[in-house]
This record gives sequence, structure tokens and C-alpha cells, in this order.
Amino acid sequence: MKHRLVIPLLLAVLVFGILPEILQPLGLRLHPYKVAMVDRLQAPSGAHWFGTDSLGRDLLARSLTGTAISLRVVGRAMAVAYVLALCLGGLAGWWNGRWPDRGISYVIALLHTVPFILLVIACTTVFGGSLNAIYFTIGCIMWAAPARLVRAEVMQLRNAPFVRAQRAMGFGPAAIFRCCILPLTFGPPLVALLYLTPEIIGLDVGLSYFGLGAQPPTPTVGRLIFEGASNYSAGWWLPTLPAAVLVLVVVLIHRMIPKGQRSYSPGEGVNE
Amino acid sequence: MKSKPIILIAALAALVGLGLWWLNSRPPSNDGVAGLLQVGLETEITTLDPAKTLDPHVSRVVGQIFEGLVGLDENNEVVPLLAKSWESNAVGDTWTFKIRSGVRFHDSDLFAPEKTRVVTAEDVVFTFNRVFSKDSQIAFVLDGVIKGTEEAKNGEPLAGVKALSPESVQVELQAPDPLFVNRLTSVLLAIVPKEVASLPSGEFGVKTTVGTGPFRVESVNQSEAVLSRNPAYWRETSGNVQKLAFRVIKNEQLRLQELKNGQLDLVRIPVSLADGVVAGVDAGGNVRLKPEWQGFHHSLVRTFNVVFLGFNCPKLDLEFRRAVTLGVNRTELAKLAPGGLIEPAMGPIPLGIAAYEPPFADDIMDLDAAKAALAASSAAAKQEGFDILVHEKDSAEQVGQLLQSQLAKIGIEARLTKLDYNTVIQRMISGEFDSFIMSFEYIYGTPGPIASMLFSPQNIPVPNFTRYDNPQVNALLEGYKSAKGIEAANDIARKIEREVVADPPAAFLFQNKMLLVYPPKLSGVKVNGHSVPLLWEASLAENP
Amino acid sequence: MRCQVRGALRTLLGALSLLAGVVVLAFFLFRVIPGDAARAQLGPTASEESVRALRHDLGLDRPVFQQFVSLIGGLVRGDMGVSSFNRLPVVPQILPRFSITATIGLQAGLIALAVSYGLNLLAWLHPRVGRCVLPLVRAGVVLPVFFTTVFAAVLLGIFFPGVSLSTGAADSGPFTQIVPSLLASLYPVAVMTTVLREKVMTAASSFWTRAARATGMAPSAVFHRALLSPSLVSWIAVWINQISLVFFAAMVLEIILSIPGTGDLLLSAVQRRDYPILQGLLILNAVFFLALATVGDIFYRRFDPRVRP
Repeated sequence: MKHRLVIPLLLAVLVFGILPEILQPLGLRLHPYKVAMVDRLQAPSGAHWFGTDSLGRDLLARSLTGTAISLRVVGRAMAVAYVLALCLGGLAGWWNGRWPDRGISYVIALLHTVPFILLVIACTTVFGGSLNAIYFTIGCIMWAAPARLVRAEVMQLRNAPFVRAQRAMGFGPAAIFRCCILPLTFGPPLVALLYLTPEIIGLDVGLSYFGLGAQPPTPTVGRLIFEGASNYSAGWWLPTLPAAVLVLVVVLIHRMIPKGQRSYSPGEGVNE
Repeated sequence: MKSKPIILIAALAALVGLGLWWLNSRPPSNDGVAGLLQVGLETEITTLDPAKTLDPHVSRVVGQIFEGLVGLDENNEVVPLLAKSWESNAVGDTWTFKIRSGVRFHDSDLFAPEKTRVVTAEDVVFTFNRVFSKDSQIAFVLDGVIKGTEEAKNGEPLAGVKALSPESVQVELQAPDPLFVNRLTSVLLAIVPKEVASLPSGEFGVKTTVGTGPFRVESVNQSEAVLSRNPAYWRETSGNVQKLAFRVIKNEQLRLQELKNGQLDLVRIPVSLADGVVAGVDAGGNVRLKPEWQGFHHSLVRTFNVVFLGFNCPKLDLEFRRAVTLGVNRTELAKLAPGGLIEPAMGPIPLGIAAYEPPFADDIMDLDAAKAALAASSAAAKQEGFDILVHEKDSAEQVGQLLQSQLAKIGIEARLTKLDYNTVIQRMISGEFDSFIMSFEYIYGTPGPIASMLFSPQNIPVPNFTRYDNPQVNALLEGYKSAKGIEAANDIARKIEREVVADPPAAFLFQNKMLLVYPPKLSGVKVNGHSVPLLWEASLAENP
Repeated sequence: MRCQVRGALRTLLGALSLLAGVVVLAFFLFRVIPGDAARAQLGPTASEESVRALRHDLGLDRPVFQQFVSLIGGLVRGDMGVSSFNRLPVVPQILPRFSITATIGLQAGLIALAVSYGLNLLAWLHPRVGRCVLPLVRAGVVLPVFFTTVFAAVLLGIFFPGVSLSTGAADSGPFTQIVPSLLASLYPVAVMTTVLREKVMTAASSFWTRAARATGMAPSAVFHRALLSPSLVSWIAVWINQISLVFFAAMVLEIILSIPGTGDLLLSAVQRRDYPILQGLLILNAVFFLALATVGDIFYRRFDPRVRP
């Protein structure tokens, strides 16, 4: 049962910890911030593999750096969401039926009903528009779906025979929770969050419409796609090539999740 | 059995392809309607009431329906519209306008039972009074100019505007102004019928819209305004456009596409779309369109606006502001749009104002002087970084990024903070900023009101966002009020501009020209400095 | 039966309490965002006094608690107030836009239903085809909704520029929204096809399927009788869940393509700080989704024998 956690965890570390460290120096070597108006809007060529944007900056450099930045920050959001999901979902599951469960489930349902983007806007204007603040906010909102999974797992495990045996042997509830139940719940929420990665990256695009998100000139994949999509008549390469990078990363993540844990409708499941 | 699935897939793919191809080549829905000119509109229409039209995009629609006493023609000269002629007294503080006779309002039930009525001096007086009523949002245009505006804001009738006879109106000013008539060219001051007083608040411009212009309202909703030609228009016109449809398409790329497909006939190309349409400039300095736009016509016009980097004057000392103003490379900024759409500007007064020549012969950029000024500065921004507020409109973000790289060259570390437009305005009003990038479309057509709006300390914090208070400029603004004649007034304006560069409240960056692109079947399109297209002489050829 | 009614009532009550939470959230959420509706309307050049006058007119200078009370009072009466931007009542402004979004959403949902059914039938009857097509479909699940729809719109624009994506008041009729519906259906098609495929494959190895095939039933009959029936509940449940996602995708599409639906209204209202419209949107949105969730819940209870009432 341990490897329900191990492989997704390794994957998360690889994608969000190691990959950015590889991509960022690579991108920086190609000067993503160097403005060169003479070279603006060049189609992909030998000098610029992805072409240049409207300020003459190399698009490949920006795509690589942007991916690194997006991944690093998404990793932070996921960490926040993961911890929150484990704590709150675990609490709700353990005290199923009593007020902690009622309260937490209520909040989860509320978060699902309100359009995500509005919550993000409201929170970011309170916490500030810096990249870290935004992803902290996203983490604080994204914990809902994985928390449901944790809650369901804990609820199931609470009544499992081995738990009842342990109680009969005299172990206190807190000890049982900590040693035996909680570790079993580590896996599923991590997988669910990994599935939500592309959504979070894509959120950047939505935030740009509201003037939030990464501060210029910092590239993030979402912002690059948004800027490209708003200007594709100036150059087809502007949205398509950064999007190709995003697709690559996302497909990679998806393929690396172990077959048994794949679910094509994440967040589905127990309705109560 | 083995060949069946392949056939199925091929059939499905063919179906999808056919479907897309058919949708692709469907003729535009309004094809075949004779004399219909479809114009792309950037924002929704909430009202067409001239007294509430602060949005420059909607004012282009309003400008087809309404007319003021005077207007601007395509050369930005003041031309008589509803006022046939005017004269002032010797001092220049009392103006008398003679109303053109026989101008009829559009047909409407407002004028039951005759359905229409001739414009009289009473309508003019009513309109000027309405400017200060609760219904209007444009009181600032004439505030402090005409006698009695303070009392008018409290609900009293406007003392300075009187009807001397059904065909003449007298306007008394608080101070002499030789260029008073130029203030009246804006679409906001268009004449409305006095029966509007009988309508419930908010109805005029929404359910009932009546003006004297070349086109009248047929139907209006949030996403489309359809106007039809006014058969009783007072001017002789040569155009054949019968119907004018303004279609709201907020997405710029989509607007461009619809122009290409023939679903729109006239679209304004802002800086952000220029790269998709303009290839560059040819030898004669004319705009050259990209190959896929072969055959399309264009017209490039100077309109009254300016894009600038406003400083927080109390926070940044004179040397720092000067360093930025002299260090910015306006020629490079102009490259943000091909085809000369962007014209570098050193001062706030836009190019193209009739009879006004700015006092700057060359680009004021001077990197050495900028570095020297920076060295002499003691502003906190030197160590802590220089914050620039940008927003999502008018390519502010692009300009900001370019400025950031330019300022780095003279040793200023600039940081961009992007917020949405309204939040930026809030910060500008509350004073929490180092600098901001803003684009202003001017309602005024003369230098004096522009300078006064931006630099008069009475206007702190709105619209003097930079909190500029320069005693020399204040003295010049006073002097402007008593200038004798247009030449003297323009001289003072030039002095103001020079002072405003030496002690800058803002680094004025550039001016946008308005580019209109339209298919070959359309001709006769003209634009004035207020960016209102003059369409009564536009013609659509019979066979495209 | 009584147990089921009680269960349904409990769900309804839960939904209502959630709605109350949304109302409170809707109110305070927007007061948090800086920016002033009056200033947003009048623009940067208007004087402070005219802005103050407008703010007073809109009732925005009253203490927060008073504004909240008047909101609740209005809701009880069924009155959602008037928009700060154009002073017209909120509900008549939202409903026609909502019908556009709903059209796109429902059309997309129907397309998803039809296509996922068709693809699975095809894959069952011709396994080779299934092996080629289904992985492609699964790829659609991987990408975010946001992304797929935006991107498809951009690609359409680049390669098929003649396809009219914007719809103003000029066109009307059931097929004007077909292109946005197709775009919005991409993600649900992917999800539903894959889910149904999973369920079908699980059912395919069951004994009743083997029995059906053994008795010589035609493959399509096997599909409909033995495979579809057990998968139906989960498939429809996913469909109901997808509907809300589809609405979200439709809203994104509206913003990108300038279609006058609720997404477009949401964007403009946020930019203009039009609190009454935002509150109205949030509340009506919540009502709709809660209704959907309640229907889904009741459906689950009624039809899924595994769920105890």
C-alpha cells in the first residue's frame, strides 16, 4: 500500500522540484528578458527556434522559463492544498456526522458552488498580486476536491476491522488515526492534485483577463498563451508554441501516473 | 467486414471537414441588404445620451446621431453645425450664436402630434442647463467656464446662457476666452430637444434617442445599434449609406477576422491589432498593408490623445523625474506599432490641433543629461526601485515593459505592477503609486483646457493625478485666460509645454493615430480629431 | 418510498442552507475587491464631487451592514435590485444572457452524450478502430477545460477564419450557437467517452455478457442490453456532473468570443465593480448548480441500488 504514495510523490518532486531547476537555467541562457525591438515578431527560424514576441524577446526562452516558473509555483500551491486536504479532510472523516464534519463539508460544498475565478480575484486583491500570493490563494481554494477523497477514505477506514481490533486492544483514537489511518490516505489526494495541475496552470490565463497573475515581464505559460491568443493575427507561433510546451508537460504528468491509480473523472466518487 | 470501419471513419472525417468548409464559406448574414454599412464597435452600448457618453467608443456612435453648435471637420477646423455663425464682444467674454434655421429633429413621438420640430434657441439653453443637471456626467467640461455654473450645480438655472430670440443664444463666460468656441466641438455638448425634460430619468438615450444628425436610431440593444439615414438632414450629402449598423465585438482578433470576411465594413485598428494588418511604411511614408489585406483601403488620422508615464510629484524629486523624461527612447516606443501609428510626443498637447505647433524641434532624449540628473537625485526610488503601475488597456503593459528595459540603460531599476484598470485609477486617486501609464483621449480641442485639466493645482487629485503644482505653470495658466487672440494663447501654451518638460509631472510618450481599414467597396470615409468618423458622405459601391 | 422522500427533503434543505452561505459570501466577497463602482462608471476625468454624488445615488456610502440588510430584504421580496452601471433591474439583465449560456451548455451536453455513446458503440463493434480513436479521446481529458476551448477557438480562427464565431443580435435560431457548443463539448466528450468505456469494459468481462454472446446475440444487441444497462447510472451521473463544468467552459468561451452570455456579463461586472449584478450572478448561478446537484442526488438515490437512502 505504500507505493500508492511513493510513485505519485516521486512524480510530484520530479515535476515540480527538479524539472524547473533544469528548465530555468536553460531558458535563461537564451535571454528571455532581452528586449530587441529590431527583431520583433520574427517567425521561427534558426536564430530563434520559437520565433520572437512583440518586444523582440526569444519565445523559446520565455516558454522554458515560463514553464519552470509555472511548475515551481504550482508545486507550492499543491503543497498548500495537500496539507489542507489531509488535515481538514481527515478531521471531517474522523468525526463523521458531528459538527467538525458538518462544518468542513459545508465549506467544501460552498467552495464548489461559487465560481472559482471570483474567489481567486477576491483573495488576490486582499493578499496582493505577487505570484506567491496568488498560488497560496489557489492552494487555499483547491483543497476542497482532494479533501473529499480523504474524508471518504477516512470514513471507510474508521470502521475497518483492523481499526476496531486496535481499539479493542486499547489504543487511543488519536494514536490510531495518526499511525494507521492517516498514512493510508496520502496517496489519492496527491493523485487528484496532480490531475488538477493543468487547470491551475491554465488559471493564469483567466487571471490575466482581470489584470492579475504574474507581473510583467515575468513569463508564465498561461500568460504566454493568453498574450499569444490575443494577438495571433500578428504571428501564428505566438500562442501555438507555448501551448505545445504546456501540452507536453501535462501529457507527461498524466502518463507517469501509475495505471491503477488513473481515474478519468477526478473528483468523482462518493456523494455523501 | 475489415473495410467497413475505415469507410466509417473516412465518412465521419469527410462530414466534419465538409461542415467546417460550409461554415467557413457561408456568406455574411447581412449580405444583400443595400446600402448597409457595418462598423465594428469595441464596447457595449449602455446609453446613447450625449450627456453620459464618456466612453470614446460609444461617442463614435453618438456622433452620427447628434450634433452640437459647432463641430470639427476632417482637417480639425471648427465648422458651424447647428450654429450658423457666432461672434464675441470686444473683451471676449460674451458670445452670441445664431441658430441655423430649418434644422429638424429626427421624427419622434416626443414631438406629438407633428412628430418633428425645428431646433430653436430654447433647445440650446436647455442643453446647456442639462449639462449641470443630475442626469448628466459631463459637468466638468464647462465647469467654471460659463457664468453661474456653481449655482447651476445646485439646481438653479444657468445664468450665463440666455435665449435672446428663437434664433439666437447668448453665452456669458466667467473670464474672456478667445477659443471658447473650440470647447464646444465635442460630441458631449450636442444639442438635445427640450422635451427630454418630460422623460423619466435615464430613458433618453436608451428608449428614446432624438438628435439632428445625419443618421437616426432605428434600434438599439447592448450588442448592436442600427441607425438609418435621416432623409431630412439639413446638409447636402452625397453618400448612399442607408443603414448604419454598429456591432459590438469585444474580442479584437474576432473583429479583425470579421472585417476580412466581409461581415464588417469598417473597423478601427488600435495599436494592439496593428501587427496583424500593417506591414510597414512605403517610400512615400504611406501605410502599407500586409499581403493578405490586399485591396483593402485605409485611412490614418491624427486624433487628440496622449499616452504618458505620470509621476507622483511629491514622492519623486525634480532630478529623478527629469532623468526619466530625458532617458526614455520615444522613437523606440513608436516601433510598438508598424506603419507610423504611433507618433512620439514630448508634451501633453496633441499634434493636429489646428494652428498649434509644439515647441519641440527634435526628440528631447538625452542619455547623458538623464544620467547626470539621476546622479543628482535623492529620490527613494533610486535605491528601492521605481514602481510603474500598468493595466490591461491600451497596450500599457507593453509600453511598461519597454520602458523598463530602457530605464535600465540609464541605471533606474523599474518594477511593473499590473492591476486591473479600475484599481489603477483608485491607486492614482489615493496617491499610492510611484508612476503610472495612462492614455487620455481629450474631449477638448484646444491647448488651454488640456493644460488646465492636467496641471492646475485645483484639480488635485482628479484629474491632476500627478499632483503637479508648479508656480510658473500656474502663472502661465492665469495668463492664458486673458490672452488676446489665438496667436497669443498658443504662445502661452507653448511656454507651458516647455516648462512641463523642464519640470516634468509626467514623461509624455506618444500619440496614437487612428487607423481605419475598410474594403474597396466603401469610399468617402472621413474622421475628425475627436475620432468620430464622418459618415454622411460615405458610399458603398454597388458591385463589390 | 417515505425514506426516499425524507432523503430528498434533507438534500433540499442542505441546498437551501448552502444558498444562504452563497448569499453571504456574495455580499462580502465583492466588498473586499478595491475599486469603486461610481468612479469606474465616470472614468478618470470626472471630478470627485460628481463621483461622490453618484456613489450616494447608488447607495454605496451607507454603512456595510445596512447595505447587507437591504440586500436580504430585497431577496426575500424576490427583488435583486438594480445594476449600478445602467440602473436597470438585475434579473431581467441576467436571464437572457443565462439562456444563451444555457443553450451552449445544454447543446454541448447533448453533443457529449451522443458522441460518447456513438464512439463507444463504434469501439465495441470495431475494436481496431477503438484502439486508434480512444487514446486520442483520452488526451482530451488531460488538458484543462480552459485551455482546450480557447485553443480550439484560436485554431479555428487561424485555419478557418470564415467560420463566424461571434453572434450578435442579428442572428438568431438554434444553430447560431453550434460552433461554441462544439468547442465546449470537447472536454465532456473526452471524459464521458472514457468513463463509459471503462464501465463497458468492466461489464464486458462479466458473466451475463459472456452468456449473451454465447447465446448468439448480435454485437450491437449485446452492447445495448448487457453492457449499457449496468453502466448507465455512472455514465449519467458523470454527465450531470459534467454539465456544471460545461457551463464553466461556456462562460470562458463567451469571454473569449464576445458572446453575450453570463461569462461575458461576469467579466464586465467585475471590471465595473457592479455589485448588484455580481451578487445576482453568483446567487442565480448557485441556484442553478444546486438545483442540478439536487437532481443528480435524487437521481442517484432513485436509480443506484447501491446507495442506501
